[in-house]
Amino acid sequence: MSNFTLTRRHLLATTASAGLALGLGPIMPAAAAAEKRTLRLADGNIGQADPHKPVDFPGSILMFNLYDFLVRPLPRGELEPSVAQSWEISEDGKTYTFTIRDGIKFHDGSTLTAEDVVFSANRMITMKRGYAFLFSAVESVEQEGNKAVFKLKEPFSPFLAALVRLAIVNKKLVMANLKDGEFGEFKDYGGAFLSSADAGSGPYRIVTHDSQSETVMEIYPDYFAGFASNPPEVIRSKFSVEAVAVRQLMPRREIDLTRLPLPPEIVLALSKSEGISIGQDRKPSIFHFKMNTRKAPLDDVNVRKAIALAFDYEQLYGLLQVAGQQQGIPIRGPIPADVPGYDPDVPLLKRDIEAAKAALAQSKYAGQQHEFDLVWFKGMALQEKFALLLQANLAELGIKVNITSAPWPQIVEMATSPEASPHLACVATSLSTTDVDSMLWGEYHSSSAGTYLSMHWLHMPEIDAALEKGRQITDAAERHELYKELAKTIADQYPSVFMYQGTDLVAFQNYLKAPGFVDPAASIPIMAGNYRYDKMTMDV
Amino acid sequence: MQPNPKWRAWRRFARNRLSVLGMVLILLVIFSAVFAPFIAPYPEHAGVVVNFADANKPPSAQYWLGTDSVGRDVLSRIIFGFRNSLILGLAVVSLAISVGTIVGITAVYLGGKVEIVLMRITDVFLAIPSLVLAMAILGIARPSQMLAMIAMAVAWWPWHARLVYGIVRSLKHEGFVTAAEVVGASRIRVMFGELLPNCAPNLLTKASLDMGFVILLGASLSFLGMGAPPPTPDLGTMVSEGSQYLPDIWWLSVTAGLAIFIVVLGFNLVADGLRDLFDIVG
Repeated sequence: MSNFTLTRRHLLATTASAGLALGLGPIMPAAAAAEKRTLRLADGNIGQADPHKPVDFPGSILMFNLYDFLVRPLPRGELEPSVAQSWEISEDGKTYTFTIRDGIKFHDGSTLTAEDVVFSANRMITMKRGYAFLFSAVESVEQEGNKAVFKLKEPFSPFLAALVRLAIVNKKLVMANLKDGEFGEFKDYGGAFLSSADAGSGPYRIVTHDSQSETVMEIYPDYFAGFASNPPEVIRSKFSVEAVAVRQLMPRREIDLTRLPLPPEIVLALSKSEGISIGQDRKPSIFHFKMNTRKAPLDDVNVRKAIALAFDYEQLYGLLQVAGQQQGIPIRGPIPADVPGYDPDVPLLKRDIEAAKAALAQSKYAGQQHEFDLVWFKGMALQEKFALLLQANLAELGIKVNITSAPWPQIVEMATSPEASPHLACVATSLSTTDVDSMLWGEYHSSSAGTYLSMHWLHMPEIDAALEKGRQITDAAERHELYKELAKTIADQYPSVFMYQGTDLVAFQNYLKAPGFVDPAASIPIMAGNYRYDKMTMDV
Repeated sequence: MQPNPKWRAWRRFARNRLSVLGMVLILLVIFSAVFAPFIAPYPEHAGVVVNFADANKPPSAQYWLGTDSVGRDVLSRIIFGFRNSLILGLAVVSLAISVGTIVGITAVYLGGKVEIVLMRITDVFLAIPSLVLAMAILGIARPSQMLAMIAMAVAWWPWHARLVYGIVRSLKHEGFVTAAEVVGASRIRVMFGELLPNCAPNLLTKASLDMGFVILLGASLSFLGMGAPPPTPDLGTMVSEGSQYLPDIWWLSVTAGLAIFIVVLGFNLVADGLRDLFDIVG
């Protein structure tokens, strides 16, 4: 007979051990795998592996590391040849011919050819998912030997920049893994397969992928473009991590790098922890309160102007200095600094409560009581502070603001119609490629309505016309002037309270060298551009 | 000389020192809630005030319990939070007692199919955990204090219906009920004039206990983002907000959590005393 007795201490110890094993299980094995240089990324969202579907941050990180592209973005928004060794543009600007680099191997060992490029472009355009909208001008894509020829319906100046989002997939591998679907002979176009596996030639390849919890990638040593010294050999991207977990786990060296919006309080605490540095991810982005121009009384530009003038920008700017790092700069309209169309001579909007009251008095709703709904993204605590600030500011105009938070899928759902969109929505927008068109088209062209980018529902023929013209002009100076004028047209309509140009603060262990977060000259100014693991070094 | 019955009741209640402590705690909380605008150091901080320059200040002579992440005085918000918690508790418990009592008495007194239908409905509601049921109701509309009260009352009335049902069932055939029927008292008169007063001690004890639980449930809903919308001071919301910044900005969660603890403890201790007072078994 056993003489074991379960004491309270035993019970507590057992329960605690079980809790640790269950709760930290997914993280602890990473520590055990430390023989290989393992980078553990904490991400706040979920990640899609299919490179032709996501438009979000985690999906972009996966895309840039698992796949290759005809061109890759460089610091200052320039482009470098990648899979495309060189290219030619016809005089009419409607034909782009790319010569494919020899010797690039997919992760299964097969050779990347122009046929794969054509297949990838057709897949993205046909599926109409993700960044397919960047390729709406493409009429046809054909293979000519080792060349891929893109024919456009009309000149489309952001085309080269858009190619940083055209991930090249392995046609043979995808075709060998088709499932039933809606795309005729291409069935599901490999959608099911690519949702959990990769068919790329990028610097890393998938080991395991669960879009809800974790992706594990390993280095692909035969990557044609090479690596920085001592690059991470294994990447563990943990999804749906909360900032408070980062605060606990990072000082214990259980997270190496963050990719989620960290509240200033957490950034400050991490900055004081030994061995942790704070860097900046300088992708041009803007934080807005989008004002629903289809909902009364925001359908009156004077009411929108009153709100923009009532907002206390100075107090907001006080939040932007955290732990010696700048997490944003003032903004002068709908175009971020250092992007074509940005005009540094436009004065910054300042709080002027008297001017706000005057604008309100000029509106057709003068003298009426107003009550607005304001929604902020639940995953980003900083936005609640912005919301509370606006609520306090508008109380001075006699406007009541009801604040609610919503998870991201709910915000996406709200954005589908003017009726479902709240009066005010706190969102951030950023460049998807290195071209300004990738930001403004999604926000302001009427054909793009129905996403979170356009929750203001401001659609005007003159804005549409300017955006369409901007796509056709190839001269950089002329484009700059056009977008400058367009920015003024948009700003005059007050579709948003343009709060500030955001810079994500990133925490990383000192043994991780990630040049894009430290050196502004090495920063790649598009979403996820600085999360190229092949450019990072781990001195462990 | 016979001692005053009220004095006797008080002595019986006060035999349990912890109940007296509970009573003191509740009286303090009620006093704070009623006179919040006069007691709170910064009463305006219960409203739409944002002052980032004073954000996240630790407890000090200026801010006894520190400030929150937008620079509002935590002590002031806790005092106003008491007010909201008490209003919430009172509203929910009153609604739950009203509905539960009517359902319980009606089921017993009318009997037959009415009894079966009412009590099976009660059982269905009892089968769903209160928090889950309240969350489901709150999920259908935008969170507000009023909706939170209704949702919690919907989750809470079955307990009172069951309690009253049990008591009334045991009293239904007592002599005083038969006597009232014999002298021609109406059904309404018998139900609410004769039976209901006999349920009062149990209902009062349960109400006191429920106040604590309802306030805790309200705090849980607020913690999950389903409570009163900002900038209403809400203890559960304060715990939730503070939990994001633990352990560095500990005073937010800890002080708001302690405030909830005090309220709930107070009502529980008073409920113990009331149980002793009314000599309720079980």
